[in-house]
Amino acid sequence: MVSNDIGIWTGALFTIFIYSYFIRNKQNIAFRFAQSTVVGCALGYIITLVMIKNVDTLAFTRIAGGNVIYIIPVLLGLLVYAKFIPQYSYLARTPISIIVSVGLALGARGALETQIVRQVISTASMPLFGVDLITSLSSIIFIVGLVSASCYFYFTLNPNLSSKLKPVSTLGRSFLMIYFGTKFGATIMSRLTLFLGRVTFLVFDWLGLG
Amino acid sequence: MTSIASKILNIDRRIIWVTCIALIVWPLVSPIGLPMKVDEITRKYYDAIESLPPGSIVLASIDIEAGLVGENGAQCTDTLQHLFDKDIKFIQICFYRADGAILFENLWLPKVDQRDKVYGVDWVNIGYIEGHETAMTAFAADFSYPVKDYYGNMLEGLQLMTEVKSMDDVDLYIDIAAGDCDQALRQFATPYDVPAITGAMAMGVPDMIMYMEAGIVTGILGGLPGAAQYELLLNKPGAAIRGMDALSVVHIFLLCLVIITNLAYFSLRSKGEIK
Amino acid sequence: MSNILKREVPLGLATVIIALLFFDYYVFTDITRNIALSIADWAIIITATAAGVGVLNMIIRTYQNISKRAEYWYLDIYMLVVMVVMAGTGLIGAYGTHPVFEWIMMNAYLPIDASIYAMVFFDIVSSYYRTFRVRSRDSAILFICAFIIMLKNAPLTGGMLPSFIPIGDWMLNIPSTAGSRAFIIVASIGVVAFTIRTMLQTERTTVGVVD
Repeated sequence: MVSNDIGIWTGALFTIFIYSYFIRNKQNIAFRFAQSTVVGCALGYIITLVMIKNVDTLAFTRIAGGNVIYIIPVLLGLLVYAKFIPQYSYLARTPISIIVSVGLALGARGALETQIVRQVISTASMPLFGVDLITSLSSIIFIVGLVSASCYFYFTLNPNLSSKLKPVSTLGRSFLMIYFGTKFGATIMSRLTLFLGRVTFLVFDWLGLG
Repeated sequence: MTSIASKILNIDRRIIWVTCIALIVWPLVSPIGLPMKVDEITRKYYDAIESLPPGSIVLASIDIEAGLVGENGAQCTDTLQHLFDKDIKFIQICFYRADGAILFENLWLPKVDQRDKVYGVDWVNIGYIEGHETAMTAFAADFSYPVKDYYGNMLEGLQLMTEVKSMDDVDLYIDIAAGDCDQALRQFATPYDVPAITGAMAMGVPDMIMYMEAGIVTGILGGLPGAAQYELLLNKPGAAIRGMDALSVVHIFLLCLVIITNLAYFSLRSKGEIK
Repeated sequence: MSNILKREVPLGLATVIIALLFFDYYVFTDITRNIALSIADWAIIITATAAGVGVLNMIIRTYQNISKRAEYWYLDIYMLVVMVVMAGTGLIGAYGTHPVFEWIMMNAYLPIDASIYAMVFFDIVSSYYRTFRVRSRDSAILFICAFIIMLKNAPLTGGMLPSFIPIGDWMLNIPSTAGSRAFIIVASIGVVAFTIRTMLQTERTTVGVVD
């Protein structure tokens, strides 16, 4: 039984508008209408939920509670808008520097432990002895793969050394191809699932089949 | 033979698209009921929540953007239902996208049975904080940092937020997001040694396996198949299982297609008609 | 004064902040922890305040399109109207909880965004059968691994070809993870090196200083 919910009909129509792109493989007015809707919605919720809500909650609420120092980050944030005035655009560098350096530092210090140290420890802990043959062989293959794939990314060796390491980096490239192959196979499933979600909505929620 | 191989290599892509659509719709309308095996990574995800005693506190970042509802939606509802069923208290927060917070409130929450759980006592929804990894660092150190929840209530007035101050008080971290959760693992799981489970897109699983082998992540849900296996373990068939037949059929079709096109390609190449 | 604001202040801030945040992580003291969290707090507020830059940029470009009567310029006016409606209703009551705001998000934004994401499926299918040819050793490895993973993921093979599952699991856990782990270790070393370069002021463009 076809749905009589106006919300579902709206969603179905917008879905059809988007896929009308594939009729001639180029944008048409229906597609652009849907695109303008989604961009307008995104801009609206960015203004509300990303900007105003966070500034109100994290700064103005505290300022109202007596912590007037929080005016300073608000003013620094407003300095970023100086980018739109060419002769004063340099004023935006200070707040951008704060944002970027905080992000870099937090990411790098976390990456050191999570993505370097723990990964190396996990590799070094792989069982080689006292286990069955398949586990032992798998560990050897893993370690060889990790080392050779890491060698592939070493671009700044002197030419003599790099020619000697070429067979190792070629082996490493094979392991990277295995990784990319598994990711590609999984990506196809991911994208298929996204489309499956849309078809499920149209078939079950809109048309009421099945 | 040559003309057949050439025709195979030059099939109009619209024929492929229409065939894929038909192969998706057919199992949805009349399910086949194909057998499914539960992966080890899914079982560990299930066990991580199942093994928590009632009253445990979980930090959940169910942070799916609108575009990924088809793939990760079932993971969100199934995980939420599992938490409610097991009487596990949780704090929900979004860091990646503001629409994740809107979807949590309007799409996932209405689909689960909250089982008489009281807001503020059994669960809290903080909503979205801007700042990504920086916000994660600030929140992990002090859970009162966001000041207010999604509905505008002061966090200090909510009972659950008086019981938990930082990541040190959390028993499990759940991250269901689009990306491969690197940032969250760097800021929540590793510094505070909190066990973590993640729900990822299928294409994020090869990356998440690495963290699982390093002991940072305990369990993974991989896309729709992961959610379907999770529903099997929960004994609550839902949207994910319903889509698996279509997934299987289209997969097999695409595999056969690429094998046939490669055979046609090799046939033409052996005759020297293409390089 | 403007030269100091153009170079020294942004570079100096980057050095101090990065050094402090690294020091806090490895040498834990209450004072450094409080300072580090305050810096993170301020960075979040600055980011939130500056989030409107993208919106303002979009509004300026849209206005230019409307002025020049570019293609579909009337849809740009419609877009601005939608933006105003969403921003207006989103500010009523608790942010983003107004029924009109939620209705538009669930019944317009969500279907459109999900449909746009799903459009990639068509391109992937087209490229998959048109360009996925086994032309070399590398593409053969890529093809075989993608083939095994797709067979493993399709539940059909669980019943018909059960031997594919342990092969697929082994491939995912051993050679694929070796490749991904190498990738992430090398990329993370690059991130750390880049951060240290920024701290030492040899990398300036990221903080907006262009010589």
